Amino acid sequence: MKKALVMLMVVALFAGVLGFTPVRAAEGAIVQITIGSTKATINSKAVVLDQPPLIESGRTLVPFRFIGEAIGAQIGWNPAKKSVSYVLGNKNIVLTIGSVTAIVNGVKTTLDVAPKILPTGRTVVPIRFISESIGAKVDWNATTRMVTVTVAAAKPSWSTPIKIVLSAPFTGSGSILGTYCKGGAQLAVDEINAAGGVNGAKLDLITYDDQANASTAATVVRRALDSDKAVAIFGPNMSAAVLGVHALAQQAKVPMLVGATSPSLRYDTTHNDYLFRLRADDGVKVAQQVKYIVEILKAKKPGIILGSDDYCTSALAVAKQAFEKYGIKIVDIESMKEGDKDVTAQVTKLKNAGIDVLVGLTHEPEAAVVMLKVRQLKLAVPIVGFSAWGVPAFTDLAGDAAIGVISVQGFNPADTDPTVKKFVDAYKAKWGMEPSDPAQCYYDGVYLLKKAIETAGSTDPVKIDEALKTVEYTGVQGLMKCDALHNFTNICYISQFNGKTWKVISKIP
Amino acid sequence: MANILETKALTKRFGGIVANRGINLAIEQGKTTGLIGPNGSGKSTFINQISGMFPPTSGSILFEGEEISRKPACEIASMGIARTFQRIQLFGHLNVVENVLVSRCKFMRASALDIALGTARVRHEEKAQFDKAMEFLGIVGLDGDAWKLPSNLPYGKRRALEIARALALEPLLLLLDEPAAGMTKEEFVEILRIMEILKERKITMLLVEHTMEFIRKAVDRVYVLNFGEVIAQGSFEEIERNKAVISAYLGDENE
Amino acid sequence: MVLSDLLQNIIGGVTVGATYGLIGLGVVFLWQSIERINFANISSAMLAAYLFYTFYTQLHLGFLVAFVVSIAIIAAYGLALRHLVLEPINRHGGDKLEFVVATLMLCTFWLSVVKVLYGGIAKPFPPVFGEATSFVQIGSISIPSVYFWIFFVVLVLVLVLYVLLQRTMIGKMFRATAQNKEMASLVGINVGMTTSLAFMLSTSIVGIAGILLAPIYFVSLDLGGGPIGVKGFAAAVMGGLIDPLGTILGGLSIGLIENFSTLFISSAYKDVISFVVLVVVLVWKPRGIFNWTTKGD
Ligand SMILES: Nc1ncnc2c1ncn2[C@@H]1O[C@H](COP(=O)(O)OP(=O)(O)OP(=O)(O)O)[C@@H](O)[C@H]1O
Ligand SMILES: [Mg+2]
Repeated sequence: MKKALVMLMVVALFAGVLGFTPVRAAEGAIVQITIGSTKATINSKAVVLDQPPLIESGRTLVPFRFIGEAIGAQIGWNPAKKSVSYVLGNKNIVLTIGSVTAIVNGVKTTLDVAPKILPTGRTVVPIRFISESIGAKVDWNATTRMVTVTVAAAKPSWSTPIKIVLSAPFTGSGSILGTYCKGGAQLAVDEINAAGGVNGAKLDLITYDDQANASTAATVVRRALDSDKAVAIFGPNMSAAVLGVHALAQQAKVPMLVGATSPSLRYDTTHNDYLFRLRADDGVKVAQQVKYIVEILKAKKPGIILGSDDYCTSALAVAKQAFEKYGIKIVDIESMKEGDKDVTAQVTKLKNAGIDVLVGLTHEPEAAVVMLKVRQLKLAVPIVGFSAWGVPAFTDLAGDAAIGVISVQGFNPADTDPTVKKFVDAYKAKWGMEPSDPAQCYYDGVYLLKKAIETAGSTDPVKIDEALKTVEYTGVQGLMKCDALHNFTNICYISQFNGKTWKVISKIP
Repeated sequence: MANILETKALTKRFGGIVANRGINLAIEQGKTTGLIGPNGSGKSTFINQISGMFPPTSGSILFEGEEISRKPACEIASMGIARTFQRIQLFGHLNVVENVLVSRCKFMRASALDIALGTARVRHEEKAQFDKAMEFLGIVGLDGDAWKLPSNLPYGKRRALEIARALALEPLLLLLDEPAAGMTKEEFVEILRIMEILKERKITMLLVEHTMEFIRKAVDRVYVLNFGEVIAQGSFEEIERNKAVISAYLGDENE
Repeated sequence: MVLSDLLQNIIGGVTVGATYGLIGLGVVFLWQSIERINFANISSAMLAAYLFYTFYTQLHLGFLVAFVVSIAIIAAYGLALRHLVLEPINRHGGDKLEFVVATLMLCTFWLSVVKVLYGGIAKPFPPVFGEATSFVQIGSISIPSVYFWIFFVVLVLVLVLYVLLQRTMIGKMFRATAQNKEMASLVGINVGMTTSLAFMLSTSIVGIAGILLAPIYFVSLDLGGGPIGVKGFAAAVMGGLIDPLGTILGGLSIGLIENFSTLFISSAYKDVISFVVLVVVLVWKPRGIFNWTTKGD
């Protein structure tokens, strides 16, 4: 009985030493060992070594079989030549006991320390050399005397291009936006492809015109899903179009990354696990606009000029709430319709209401109409406009009348941040024009997708979708990470127009 | 005397109805030719074809030897055929003198460029045409009503205006479709007076009438239509005695 | 509310109202001549503005050349309208209703064509009538310089049209043709020619209006439909469809009603109020509110 118990313990011990399942190459692994200790971890699971790692001439030596199995390599032992070999993927390493010469992929390399057989009979090899030769990363922590070997997930290489679809407006009232959507996405795709693609596979961007129209967008998305078999869809960029089609992506379980900014596309409303937003939503922007008006401009009597569609009215709802939180009463709200060209009466009333700041919640042409009238009637208060007041479509029309206007923007090409500058320069070089919102978000979006595919180790849309929820990526819009509302970023700018460019007043966050 | 207008086997069908059947009719230069016949016998249809309101089904219309049966109405009018209507037709939104002035368009010689630039030539011409229009109004005794709208004129004067408008075309042939229809005694006298003036001016006319008294006084030669066919022709006296004509009318048109 | 505010609003209302009136003139002219309502009337304004933009801003032709070429093209377009829309409809036995439907579709057609060719985004109009931000200051009232151009051209156009229709032979020919084509033809009027001229003049007037309005409307799709088209039509209706002066006054009334309803009631109800007024006028005075003379038939 006692004998049986001992046997069991021996088996248990063995299991403790060798009982870890060798990781599969594709999965990657993190191996941690400590000098002089038999305790080690592989992917956070404790294992016990039969021989503690030791340092010789500044190099850490570990049992040859342990490291090979930990990183998932095939191990060979040739007793005649006294050589050890490791094969992982397309890497092949041969070491000889007592020799500083190693052969990596058929090429002779010289080691600092030769592999050797310890007096205990264990064969040890230099861990850094082995790890780095097969492409793993080695970190050394001097205080804890711990070595961490990170084996990246082996990159499966896909031969067929990875299809992604962009649905954006190229005709219709939003056509200029389509140009920017495509400009950003295509730039990222071309950069990625030039640098070798995603795990060796090229990205193939297919672009369709959705005319900023929900029914056309539905046709485009169905085509992307059914016939193109896209792994992810970028756009539509128009909120109303996204509302009409995001359920299609959900049904097909294909991630949809959009630059549409309506607050109604937040996860708490859509409950769509496949819908992600690539730039700050309008709710966030209006809140920041109000915050700036109250905290920096110290305005107490805001007046609002309001457009009539959903973009404007949902901005108003957020603005009302935000002002209320500060205990500030909006003294006058004047409305106009899209297409209105005379706002004499509205501006007169705002002026007579004694407002100390004009909050513009309209689209671009209406913003221009308002500003021309503001200048004509000499309404001399700060003007703080919503996102439509911060784009060329407004400043081109308003001309000099736009000088001095402050706007909340999703993107400002004048930002001096190096990542932004690099993007702006590349965009200009490629397209001969300056990028404007939303170009940056589709640019970031494609890079995000690349990272998600790499993390998922698969082009399966469901796995990409899972990965999108966890990946972090630092791009033109700073750190992008999926939050509870499925928004990747809340970045926005408060900027002021000086007649040529928008000077950044503050960048949030 | 030469015939200004001749029709040869002129035929007009409306579906099953043959409104004019093989009509051979000649209008002599400078004379007044009468066209009579019972209701629905095809008189107005005949005038409509000559004035170009619709083309004949077959046959030909020779005006001064030229075939006009396929020409558009405005061209026929310009060639010199003017008409009035059984039911008076005026331009209601144009005042009296303007109603006459429209007939003077064909006499305008100014080019499109002149008109566009409003040159002196145009203004001079328009003044001349205006004077002409007033002259025609004078003939029918309407020069005092020049600035009224037609709706403000009594019935008889409307008829006179229609005649003045036709005269303003300075026609070689004037087609009058029942000018005395629906007139009071006094108005009838006025129309007779106008007819006299026209005859004095040697205007060739085709006169469609039911009023025999009128016909007797006005015409040199009469054609009688019945069921679209010419059943008789000749002087009024000859026609009066014609048996076929009497039976066609059955004495119902004898005042 | 001070006096200068009131005056300022009267000027705003009158200018925008005059633009409605101008557009209405195109409607009136065609109705006067052929008794047809061209629902693509407003398209001529948009097309002319885009043509002018193309010639002046993109091809750098001079103002006069760009203007004349644009209007010539628009006039030719009017001629095409007659031969490619009106005549085929007439040939197939269509009447007013068919023409309305066809031109309604044409209006949408031109909007899509311009969208495809120029994109949907509004373009700034070159400052040929003075910079958008140049204002003439009269006491405490400030008036954009382009407003003076609008007043001036509207005045000239109304005068020219009035004289043309009421005082010239051509005008009488138009009016006669409008009332009774058959009879017009019987008094020697070449109805085909007057019809062509009517179409060309109608599109040209609206085309001139389009170029004139572009500083206010921008070179945008707003010039090819929407409020201005509807209100231009409303102005024409207030002029009884035949009266150029009444049409301009109708346009001015709409512009003023809009401004004053915003000023004294609420901007939210501006359009509701103007359309209620229009409907009331239509019911109460279907022949136009400025029906000076009693018309016969
Ligand atoms: N446009 C038409 N379409 C069909 N039938 C027609 C047309 N015009 C005339 N008719 C028919 O042709 C026949 C001749 O008509 P028309 O008007 O020429 O007669 P009329 O002699 O002028 O009669 P009245 O003395 O009543 O004026 C009638 O039967 C009439 O119904
Ligand atoms: Mg008859």
